[in-house]
Amino acid sequence: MGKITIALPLFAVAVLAAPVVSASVLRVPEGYRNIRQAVDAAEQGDVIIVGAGNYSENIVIRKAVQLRSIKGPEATVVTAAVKTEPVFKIDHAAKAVVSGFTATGSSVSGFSLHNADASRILDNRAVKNGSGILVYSSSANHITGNAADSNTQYGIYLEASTGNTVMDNSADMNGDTGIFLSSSNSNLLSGNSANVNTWNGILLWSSHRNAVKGNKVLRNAFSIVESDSDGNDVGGNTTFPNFVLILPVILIYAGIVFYLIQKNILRKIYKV
Amino acid sequence: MQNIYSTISTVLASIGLVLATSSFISGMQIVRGTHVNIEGKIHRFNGIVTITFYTILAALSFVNYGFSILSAAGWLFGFFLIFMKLAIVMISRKKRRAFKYVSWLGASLILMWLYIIFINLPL
Repeated sequence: MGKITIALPLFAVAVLAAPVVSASVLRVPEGYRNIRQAVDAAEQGDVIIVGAGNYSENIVIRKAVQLRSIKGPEATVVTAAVKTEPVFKIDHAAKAVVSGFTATGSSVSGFSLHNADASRILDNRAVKNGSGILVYSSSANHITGNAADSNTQYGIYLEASTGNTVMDNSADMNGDTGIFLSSSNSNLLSGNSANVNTWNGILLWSSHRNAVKGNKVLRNAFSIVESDSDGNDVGGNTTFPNFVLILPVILIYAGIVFYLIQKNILRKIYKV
Repeated sequence: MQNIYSTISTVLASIGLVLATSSFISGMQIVRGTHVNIEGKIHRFNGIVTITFYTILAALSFVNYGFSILSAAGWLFGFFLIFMKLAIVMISRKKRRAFKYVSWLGASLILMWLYIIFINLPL
């Protein structure tokens, strides 16, 4: 009993004296002049809120911070200051979040993940870069709701990456391929659109056991291509909608009917 | 809510194919020599409206998607087909044998409109 009466107050003191870790909120441009300064100053778990505007930067994230814009990608545009570097790069970090930005003007990519795990790239636009979103040697990341359109090479490119979720993105009008998986296994590609790309809509190259489901892959030179890839679950994708066949038939029929109507009207007018 | 006819390009392309079909049939009737006067009016009216729509669609394409050499080459090829057809019609007024080439070019124009429909279908 005596031991307990001594131990309980000691335990309470220990609990109360333990340091409390709480996430700070850093604001750009109010608190920090640019995003890079805020990222450098942030600690693990901090949230960086970025106001609307045009920024010229290359941002490297090496810790678990959340980078969010207030007004969304239309109003928060980050252009690469050094064109040969990605606009946003998550490098050897876990649980980082980048959300609500437009990344443009890099000859490499809008967003790059290198050895990143469990990070999230959400609701961004990656347009007019070398590639939209590049993922190298990374796993369990979520790439969701982004527009990776009009890039010179690829919309979304995964290499040597496993267990990532690529969902509800658009990868349209890119100069080569919409979504490209190279030596990447067990990823989920779902609900994406990969339309009007110069070559492939979705390309699986030496990639195995991926799920490619419910994607819209239209008007590419080739829609979904598997090369040296086994065990992929490719199903429920839209590659050729029925109205592509039905509509021209209906219109040609309408043309014939329209011709007969015109002919009969003119016959009545000219009394032929 | 977007539907198949939410964009003006799809509407114009669809009307263009309807008119091109009508124009093609009337053109064939002219070649056969039946009711040339009426068929000529149908053919000319539909043809002029179709060329106008084609020009608007080409302009809309550059406005919406920007200029590219491939796209410009495609639209110019279409104009080449149209003006080639018109040129042969002029020649065939003097030499009737040239009519057979007009039929082939008319069919090519229908194929061209089918392609225009395809590229203008909403994704």
